[in-house]
Amino acid sequence: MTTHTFTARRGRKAGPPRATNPRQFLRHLTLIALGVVMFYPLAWMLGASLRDDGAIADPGVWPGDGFTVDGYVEGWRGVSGVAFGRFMLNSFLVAALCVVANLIACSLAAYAFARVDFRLRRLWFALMIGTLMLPHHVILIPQYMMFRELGWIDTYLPFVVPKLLATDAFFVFLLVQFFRAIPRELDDAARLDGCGHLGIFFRVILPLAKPALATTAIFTFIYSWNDFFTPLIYLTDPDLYTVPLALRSFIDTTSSSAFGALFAMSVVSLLPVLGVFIAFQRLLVEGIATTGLRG
Amino acid sequence: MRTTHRRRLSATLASATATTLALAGCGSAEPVASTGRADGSITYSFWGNPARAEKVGTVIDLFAAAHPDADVSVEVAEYLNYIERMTVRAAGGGLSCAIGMQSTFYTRYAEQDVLRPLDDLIESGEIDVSQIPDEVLEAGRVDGTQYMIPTGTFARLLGYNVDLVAESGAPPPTDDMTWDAYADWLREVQAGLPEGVHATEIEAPNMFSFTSWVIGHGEEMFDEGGLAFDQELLEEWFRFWLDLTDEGVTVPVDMLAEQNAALELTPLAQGAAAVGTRDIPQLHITEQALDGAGRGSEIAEVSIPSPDPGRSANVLGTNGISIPTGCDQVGTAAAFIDFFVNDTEAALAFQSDNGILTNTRAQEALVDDADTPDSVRRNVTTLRELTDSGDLTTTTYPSGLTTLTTELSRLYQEAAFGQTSVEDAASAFFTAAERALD
Amino acid sequence: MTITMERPPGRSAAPPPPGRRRPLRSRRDNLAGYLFLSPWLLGFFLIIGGPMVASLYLSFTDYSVLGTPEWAGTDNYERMLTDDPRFWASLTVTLTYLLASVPLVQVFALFLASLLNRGIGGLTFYRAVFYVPSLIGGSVAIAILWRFLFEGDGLLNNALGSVGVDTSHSWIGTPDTALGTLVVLNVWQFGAAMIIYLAGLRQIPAELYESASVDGAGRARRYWSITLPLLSPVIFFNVLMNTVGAFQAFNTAYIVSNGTGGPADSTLFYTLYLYQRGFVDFEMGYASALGWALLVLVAAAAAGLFALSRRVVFYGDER
Repeated sequence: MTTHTFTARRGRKAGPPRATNPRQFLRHLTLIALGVVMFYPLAWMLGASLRDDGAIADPGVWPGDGFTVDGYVEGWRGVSGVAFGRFMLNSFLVAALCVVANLIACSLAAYAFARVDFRLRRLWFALMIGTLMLPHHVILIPQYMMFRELGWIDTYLPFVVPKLLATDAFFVFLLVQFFRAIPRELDDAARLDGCGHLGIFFRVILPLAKPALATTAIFTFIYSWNDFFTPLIYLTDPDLYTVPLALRSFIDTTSSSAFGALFAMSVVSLLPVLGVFIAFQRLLVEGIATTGLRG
Repeated sequence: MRTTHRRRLSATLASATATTLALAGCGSAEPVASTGRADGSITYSFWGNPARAEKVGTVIDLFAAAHPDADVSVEVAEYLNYIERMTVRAAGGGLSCAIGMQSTFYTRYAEQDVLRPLDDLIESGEIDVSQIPDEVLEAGRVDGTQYMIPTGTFARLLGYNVDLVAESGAPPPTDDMTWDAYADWLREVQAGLPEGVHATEIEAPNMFSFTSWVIGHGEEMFDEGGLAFDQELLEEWFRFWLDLTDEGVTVPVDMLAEQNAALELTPLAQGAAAVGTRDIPQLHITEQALDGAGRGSEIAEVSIPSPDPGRSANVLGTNGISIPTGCDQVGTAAAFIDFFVNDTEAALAFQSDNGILTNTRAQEALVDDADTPDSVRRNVTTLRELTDSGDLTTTTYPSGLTTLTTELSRLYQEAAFGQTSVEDAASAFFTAAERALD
Repeated sequence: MTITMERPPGRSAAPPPPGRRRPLRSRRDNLAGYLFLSPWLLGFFLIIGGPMVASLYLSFTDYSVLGTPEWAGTDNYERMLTDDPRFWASLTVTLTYLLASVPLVQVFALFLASLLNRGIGGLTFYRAVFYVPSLIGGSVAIAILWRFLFEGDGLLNNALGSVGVDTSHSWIGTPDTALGTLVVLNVWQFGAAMIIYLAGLRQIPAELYESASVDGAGRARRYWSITLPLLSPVIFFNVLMNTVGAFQAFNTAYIVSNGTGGPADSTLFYTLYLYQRGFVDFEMGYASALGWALLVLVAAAAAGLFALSRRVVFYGDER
């Protein structure tokens, strides 16, 4: 760890050398067995989405006799005259904005905590961790009042502005942990090259922390995509609704529920998140291990 | 270091004070007077599924045609989510101008001045309630002031699976059973049912059913001081059901969770139980679910048992619309409510989707209209028959009812799973009531 | 909050103390630090701080949500400690859940991340398969599914029946096992932790393994002496965050039990109880007090973990 004479490595196969074949086989077997168990519930959901509403209590995966695509048709029609596709677009917009906001704000804050010596840093750090610890239900009402005073009801500002101001402490902390794993020698080298903090941030830390940034992007996207309470409280105009709001409204405990539509749209709404995951996961593997260190 | 701490703290406090002050200021605004004109834009918030939202959409189109200057948009959410959202918005003063309310929970909002008294609007004729029976209107009053205009009523009845009961060899249930006769009948049904199917769901944790029990016993649920019945009555209720479960006549206790689930997944709707209480409009949904599960059967209904057959134990509940105190488009909101309640076309479009509509003239129109689905017609006629024969009763709904509803369910479960005695559970209910009804 | 304020976490928690490298903190660093931190500072004071302090104030009041808060001194806190069995019940549920699910999630996530990190074919595919359950989060669809899996005539019992174990025990409907099904649900969604572990593993320079191989270190030894130490900041992160998350677990219990925490309070998570007090019983003052008590608890747990981390977590920026 004390030297920085690592040679650059390219190629995908990082980590320790590949294991021998029987081992490899065993490993695949384990993974597949586990994968089947893990995946069953999702396969069931897919089956249920192609099944008649009445046959919903069928625990099997195969839709069988009750096969129908009504769920997709009905679900896609949406709620209150707004098509489900609109909710998908809304969700995508919100989630994308949140990703950008979180990447910028959280990495800035994380750099400060991880790499800069400034007064009261530890106090701020403790406070930052502290903000994670209060259950959000107790600040729901005060926060609603504040955002309402600001005229933010029926806008996406309550979703994005807090993220722009790095209030997602989870990700600040995540990035701090990853930034700190990057050897300081690299900073020193950059400093010798005449870089200031901004230079180190952009040229050393960010490139080397790609997996962490990708993780932040993926998680932020998924959490925003799945977020239910924020849109429930802050959005009134159905044109602005996001996917989870629409999904919940398919089920009503006091009257009939549209299970087919629920499952069908649950499946459909998984696709964009899955897409984002697959798009970003390439970056997950590009750590120090693969890109190498320019010593 | 220490002074810095203090300075930071005071800075934080200052920014918080603003919020706190806002907290103190809510709900005390003077109600806005109506302009008498429907020329503003409002939002109507309600709970329900997309199908209901669609019907409300049609009603709003009709309203827009009749009131071209007004603009109504809708906002729908699932029941529990709806209430949560409303709570947050009520605290923050951000309610929309027309909000869905229910007799079971609206009292709290009325008592805390969140809702606007509507009597001036009724007096001025902006909201015409002449077609709503007074005993139904009464359900929207607190201390004589009208806070909610009832738009739909529901009554909880005993629904039974006609095929299963016939299969069991027992006679169909009747409208005039006592609880003891009912228990005997259940045992008879159980004796003839196949394995894995039970005579009834467990009614013990259900507040509506318990209310029927209390009222049927000639007592009231609530009075000024809190609970108006004796603790023994609650203990008897618990024991009544615990015994039936022990005999295997009810579904097992571990299926209580299923009873709380979506209507289609309840034991009655899955053919795992032959009897269960349902609100009138829910009977048809249950039939549809049974059909889907491949166990299709008619679900017929009889009155809830009562120790005195002359005293009805069918409790009436009400859904309605209110206007919050903070609304500044009272004219439009009043016109919308009036339209919702009185317009025949609107009634035909909405098809009584949230409780049986309260306007008697509209009821008739709905029954007579050829396009009305049979299930809706049946709902309306069932309620009318109950009304005409006087087989309905009402109860009061204090602020803390939601708390008691969850407590009843929780405490019964604790007793049923043997975690506490019936006496302790009942006494815990009374303790909780003291705080909740305070 | 007070706890963390008076006792900032240990040395390793925040980055190494100033002065170890350069005795004087430069003016430039001060400026740069606060500039980098400025978005967060703004957010802290404008968005988080106000509502937090408001809720702290409310915790000392009697506040019915719809009315005006009335000062009640420490009544709420006294009631919690002396006159509220459900508070203790919910605490027990939460701690049981935490102690069961946090370690299990780490074991699964770390095990699979390590398996997947070793240049295995089909990595992308496996990673997606294991991660997909985490994508759906607390969806209503999952709530219904979980019921079908674990009810009396559910899928699990069917599977058990086919291997000769006949039971009609409703795992989800009986107080003894209901919490267990939620632990399973949590473990099933270990994908998020796995992804973080994978990212962490990827940051370990491959050269270290190569030189260790040259030194003749075996597989287990390499894992123990290279992987784990270098991964420790990430392990620490996951453990801490999952612990905080478990203390605040809400979504799944809310959806699966339809907001009740049943059967018989067996899945009454702390925050679910808090929610019921605030939004069902309209005792928002008491709910706020519950919230702040939780904050103190979580802070204590976190302080404990930070103290532990000082001894077992290795950071690349230390020297």
